[in-house]
Amino acid sequence: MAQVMLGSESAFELLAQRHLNPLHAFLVRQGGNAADADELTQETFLKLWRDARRFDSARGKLRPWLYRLARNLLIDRQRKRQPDSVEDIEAIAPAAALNGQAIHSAEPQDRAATLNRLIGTLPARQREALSLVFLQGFSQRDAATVMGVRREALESLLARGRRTLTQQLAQTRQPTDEGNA
Amino acid sequence: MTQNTPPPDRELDQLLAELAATEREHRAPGRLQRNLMAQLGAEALNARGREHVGSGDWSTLLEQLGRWLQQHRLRASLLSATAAALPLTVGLLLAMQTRSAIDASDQSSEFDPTAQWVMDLEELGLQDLPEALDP
Repeated sequence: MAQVMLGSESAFELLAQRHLNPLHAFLVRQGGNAADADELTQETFLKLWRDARRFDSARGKLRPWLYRLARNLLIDRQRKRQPDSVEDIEAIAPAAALNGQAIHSAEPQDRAATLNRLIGTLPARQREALSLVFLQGFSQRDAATVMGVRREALESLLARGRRTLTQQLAQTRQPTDEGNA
Repeated sequence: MTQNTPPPDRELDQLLAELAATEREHRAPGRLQRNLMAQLGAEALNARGREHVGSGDWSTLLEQLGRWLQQHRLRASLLSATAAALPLTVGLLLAMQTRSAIDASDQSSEFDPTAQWVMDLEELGLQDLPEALDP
């Protein structure tokens, strides 16, 4: 990052190679739209390039800072689209809806797909917290930094999200599953 | 609950780990990084352009513009996105360079700007500039 701050395009390219794919995955999950995720990923990295000198390694790590840039851009975009209704990321539409798809299955691969869809129906902040910690591998402290919340608030979001998912997963088991012992 | 069914909490952890592995395999479209680097190049060019325009070194600027355009095979979406960031002087030069690139394309099969370039200029309100700047 020090090289990027000095204006090195090759250092920036390396940095983009390292973070572009996971950030894109995060934005697809949060925004629910691949085209928006493409644009937001690009905007995020360009903002990083332009604002590189504002990054202060003494105040935090690069990755949470990068994701926070992306998160703010996502919220700004939603505000522009729905200026009267979007107050924060909570109002962002769920990334994926069940849309009446069959979700009763005990097959492992289907269970993962089911969970994927269920995560998409969580409230945005719960989805974001779970995504950062369990899918993107952030520590709780760094995830809280990305979301701009206290650690306790993040823990609460994670607990509520996990509880909802556990309950919904149990409900999606095939009725015959219990009789197969 | 079957013997093979893990407790709900453990199942959730297992499935989250599977999803995390899938997420790590996620690949953004390849053009994303290419466009990103092209746009970065445009910004750097813009910064250098200001210097060259300021010093009156237009030929160097034109040369750099030409190299950049050819290097990135500038296309519609990229041009539109980039143009907004360009100062007017560089925008004018871009229009000039576009015109010469179109002329060059008539003689070379390697460089293929296509009519889309002209449409881009129209979108940018620069459609008359190539003619106006033509000596």
